[in-house]
Amino acid sequence: MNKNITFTVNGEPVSLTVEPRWTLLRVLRDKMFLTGSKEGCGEGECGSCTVLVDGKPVNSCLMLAVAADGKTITTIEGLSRGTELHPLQKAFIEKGAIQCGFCTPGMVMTAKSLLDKNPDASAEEIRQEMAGNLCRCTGYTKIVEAVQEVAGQLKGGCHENG
Amino acid sequence: MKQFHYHEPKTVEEACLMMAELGDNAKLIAGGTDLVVQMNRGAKAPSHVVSVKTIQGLDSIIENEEGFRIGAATLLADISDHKGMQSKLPMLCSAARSIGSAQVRNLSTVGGNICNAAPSADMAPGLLALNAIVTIAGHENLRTLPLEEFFVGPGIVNLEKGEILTEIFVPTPTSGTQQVYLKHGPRRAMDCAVVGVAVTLLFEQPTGRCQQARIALGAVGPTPLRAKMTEKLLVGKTFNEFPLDRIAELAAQEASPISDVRASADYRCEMVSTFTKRAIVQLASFA
Amino acid sequence: MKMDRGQMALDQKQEIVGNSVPKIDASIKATGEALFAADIYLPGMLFGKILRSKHAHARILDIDTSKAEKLPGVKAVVTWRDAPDLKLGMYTDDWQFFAKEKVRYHGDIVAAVAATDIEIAEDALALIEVEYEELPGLFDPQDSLKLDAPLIHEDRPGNIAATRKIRKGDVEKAFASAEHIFEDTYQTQMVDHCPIETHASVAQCDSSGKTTIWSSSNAPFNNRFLLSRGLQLPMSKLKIVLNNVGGAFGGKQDLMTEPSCILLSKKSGRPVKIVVDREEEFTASTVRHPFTMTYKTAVDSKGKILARKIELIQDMGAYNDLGEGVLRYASLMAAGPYEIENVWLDAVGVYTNKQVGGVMRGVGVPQVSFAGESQLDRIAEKIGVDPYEIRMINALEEGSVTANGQKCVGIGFKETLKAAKKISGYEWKSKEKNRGFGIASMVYSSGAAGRHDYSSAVVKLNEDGTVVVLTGAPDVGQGVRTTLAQIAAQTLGVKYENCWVEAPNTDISPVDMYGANASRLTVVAGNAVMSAAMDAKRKILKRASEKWQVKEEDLQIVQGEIFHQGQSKSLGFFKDVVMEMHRPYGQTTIGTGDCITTSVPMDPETGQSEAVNIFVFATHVAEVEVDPETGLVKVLNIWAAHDVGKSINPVNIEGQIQGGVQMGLGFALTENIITRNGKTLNPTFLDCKMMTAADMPEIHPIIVEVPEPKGPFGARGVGEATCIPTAAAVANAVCSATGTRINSLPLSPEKVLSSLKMKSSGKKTN
Repeated sequence: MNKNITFTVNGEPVSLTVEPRWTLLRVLRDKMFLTGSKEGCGEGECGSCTVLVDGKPVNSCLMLAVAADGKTITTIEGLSRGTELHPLQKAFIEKGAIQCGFCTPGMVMTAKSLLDKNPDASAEEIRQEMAGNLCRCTGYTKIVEAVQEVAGQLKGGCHENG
Repeated sequence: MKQFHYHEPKTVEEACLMMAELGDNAKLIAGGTDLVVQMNRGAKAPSHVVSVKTIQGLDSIIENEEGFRIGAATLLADISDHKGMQSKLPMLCSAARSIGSAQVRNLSTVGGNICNAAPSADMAPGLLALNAIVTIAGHENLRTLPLEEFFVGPGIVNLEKGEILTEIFVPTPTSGTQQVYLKHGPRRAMDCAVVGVAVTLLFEQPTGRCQQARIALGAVGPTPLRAKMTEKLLVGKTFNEFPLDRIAELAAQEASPISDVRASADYRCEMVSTFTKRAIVQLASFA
Repeated sequence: MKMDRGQMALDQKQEIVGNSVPKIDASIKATGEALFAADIYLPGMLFGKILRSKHAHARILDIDTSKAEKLPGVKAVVTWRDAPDLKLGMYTDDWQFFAKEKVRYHGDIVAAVAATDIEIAEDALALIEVEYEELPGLFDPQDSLKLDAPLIHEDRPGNIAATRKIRKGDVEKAFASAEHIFEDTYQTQMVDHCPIETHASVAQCDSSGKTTIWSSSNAPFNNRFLLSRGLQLPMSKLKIVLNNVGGAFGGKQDLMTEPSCILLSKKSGRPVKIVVDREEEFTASTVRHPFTMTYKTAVDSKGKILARKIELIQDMGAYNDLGEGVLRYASLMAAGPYEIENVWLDAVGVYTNKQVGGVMRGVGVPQVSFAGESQLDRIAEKIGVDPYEIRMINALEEGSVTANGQKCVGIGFKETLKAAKKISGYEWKSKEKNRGFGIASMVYSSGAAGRHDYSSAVVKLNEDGTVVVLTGAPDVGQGVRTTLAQIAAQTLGVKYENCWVEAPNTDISPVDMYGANASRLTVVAGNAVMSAAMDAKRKILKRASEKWQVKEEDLQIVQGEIFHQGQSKSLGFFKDVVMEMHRPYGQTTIGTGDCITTSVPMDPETGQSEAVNIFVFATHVAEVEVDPETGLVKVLNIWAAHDVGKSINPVNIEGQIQGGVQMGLGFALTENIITRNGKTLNPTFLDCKMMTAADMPEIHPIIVEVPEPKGPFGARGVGEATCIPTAAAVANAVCSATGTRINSLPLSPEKVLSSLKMKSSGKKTN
């Protein structure tokens, strides 16, 4: 029943034997201890488990790990370089966009993919695109401001994309 | 989640054979955004899961003069972003965009949305109103079917044992056809439709008479459905002659919704009236 | 050089309190490094699952776990037989960790399993055979109150869980001569706290009998108290550790996982982790109590409120839990933030076979605020007084006496009204069709009301002059660790960056009784930290005065340097004095401090007492647009004016307000746990809808600062108030936009539309 999968996680090649019923989130957390991706609902409604698969955000709680075979995965752990934080992470800190922090990794990953695709996203576009990431603490205002801040930097061309 | 065997056929033939052999113990998986949730809740517990994601060519959109051939495993995100569809089938792009979140649309497929046969499936009304035709592969033969005949009941589609949906063909609408999909829910994102209404209208020029009208409704019956009697009220009339109140009333009569936690049947009927009227008014303003 | 720096320090003399410093834990949360309870993995750890009742009300005839125990991979199964046979609760001992004779709601715990894999634990649950005898269920408090109703708890006659009274003046006399009398009944629905992190814990019981629990709790000391009693473990053997908590809003002090985790670990000899899933969170965790509220109010022709007679019925759910406290808060605040000469209140909490109500942000006040503020608007409309004016006319102000007979001191209610009106551009009647403004206010207590509330703190100075604060105050995302670091840094005169506030660990932290509740931490834990910091500072200044032969009272510490009064050249570094305490004196400088509030229990017959610790006031203005064809309410703006006393971290407070409004809007419009016969029909984020980023309007936080004499640096707690008046403001705005008033929440499109239709057909709506 078990399957061998090989994929790239945060730049490192990984080979694992997985049960078909394991979701990608289950493998990232329980088998690789990449606990930055969170489970908030397990049903694709809250976005806390968001990771990038081949550069696109997906709910890792809905994707079977076997389906990640051959893919390139980026989790929150792969975003900062050593102690150098990604501009989005810096902006989240500076703008006060983090309260309990449980939704934050998913928020940052969705925001990253959004800005990769649309570097000068408007507030309205940010709100629409990030609707799949629920937050119960912030009311979203400061999260949107943080993403906008980075969008502004990208527009100004003074930011090296991480 | 219960343990299952996972299969990755490389061809449609292989997939069909597998499904034929495994029978009721098997479920097809594409994006998994519905099946994984169901399995997690224990609502479904297949012993075999057959992925269509490894089949070559099942996830592409091919555009030609006749129309768009959309592979069943095409991502909703790819439909939403497809330039050709944005220009010729914009209501399908907006319907795709209205589903779930960005993260979900990067997993969910159009085939999955259709085959789940949820009455509220957002892709269905638009595809019905555009007279989409589905291609169904069995391990020996291939058949095509108007989408309308594909839906049988809630969660039930016209697929025989060993058959899989491979493609959805959407004929290019006659030049000048207006189209819109309106979705109603309490939130601006992440909702299942309480009511979905897709309308296409073609006005003859210069008379301004409605030459063709198609209205499809979601979440208001056991399957997504066409409101064909209502459509007839429009044909042959100019916009100013449209009996809007009668149209609204008849559309609601063609619906047969249920009451559930999302809305009552009465409210759904009223929303069919409201959104059918709104869609027609909105389209007529472009004509 | 040194003189320049000293001068710089004095010149800049940056106030740390009042500055939006970045949060102490923001960067580890941004990187995903921050560990939450579910992120803990220990060697040999097992995964647990909980079996909950299949019925709303049933007798348990037998529990057979033998098949589950035999499943390979299962290491322990526990039921009531594995725990001490006793009932307990915060107010009333009516709840057993594991159901024994009866189950009283769908969430009651029947058994728990630990296995080597989560899937095995899930499979094992299905193998546990429970024989039930179904009993008739009670799902509406009105049914529970009927004389012939079955009893949910055999020893609770009438299914009454709690009562509360207020008697001030003579309402009947006032009604007899009043010009206008209004009587209306309001209802609010069941909603969940919805923290994005579900309840989780990891327990490790070792062979010495020591139990360590890593928990998602928002009240670890409260939990320790109950666990110690319920499991009959001495507190010294019970260590609760908090790392990071993914939101709580009052919901994470219910012991949803901890007793199961501990017993499974004890039985298996291995660490056990239990993380509840979202469906469990929606169906089995505590919720906000549904209330039915009847308000009879007399006013004179100018709008002065003469009397208010209020009846509250609280749907308690299956157990009392914290419900009695919720009823007390609701009763205390039910008359609203107004001075009313005659108040009569009867409140009753009633058992039903439904989810247990707990404390949820606002503790009963969102419910009464919706009722009282909706009615006040109806009164204003009827007698032709601007809703803003009617609030100004009746507002509590300096020296006013509240319904519980308490005199208001140092309060800023009218300031919130004025600020909200001015900044929002509020108009009684909007000029635009289908649009309207609504205004609503509230009063709340910062620090537990009607009972003693306390917290202690330790401030420990490291030999390099940096500071560690030990406190039991749990940071659940509201930022209390940051606030306390700011208070410690400001008090000591050191840099914020040099202060660390350790997360609670019940073995190490001094006690903080109620945790993240009742908007209490800034005030109660804040005062404790301030007093501990002053204690540590005194010790350092004493040493400094000896060292430099100057008077202690003439010394001050600024940005880590010690100055003699009037001199711009510093005497030396704070850190050097701290170091000297270490060597040669061999002492760690430790400051201790505590805070106990003066809040007094309410009189059981009259409700009169100084029950409120610190008064908190707020006013929200909502601007909405209603789609008359669908009933959909679109909120365009919310202005939220809060008297925070002193804003210790303005960005943090804005964030609290914005987040609280999100919760308030959900309560107003979309959130609703729908149950049928006690079973939840919509236990998902898809169908119990919280607002997404795409749904949220502009929120305009308005910070009002009227210093609170009892608060650290004049601060009051703000967190809970932020969600309280929102629903009434929205309901009032909807009424202003459409002319129809809806007396029950949520204002779903369907309800709004039907109300509009009734209005156009000329029928009276409720």
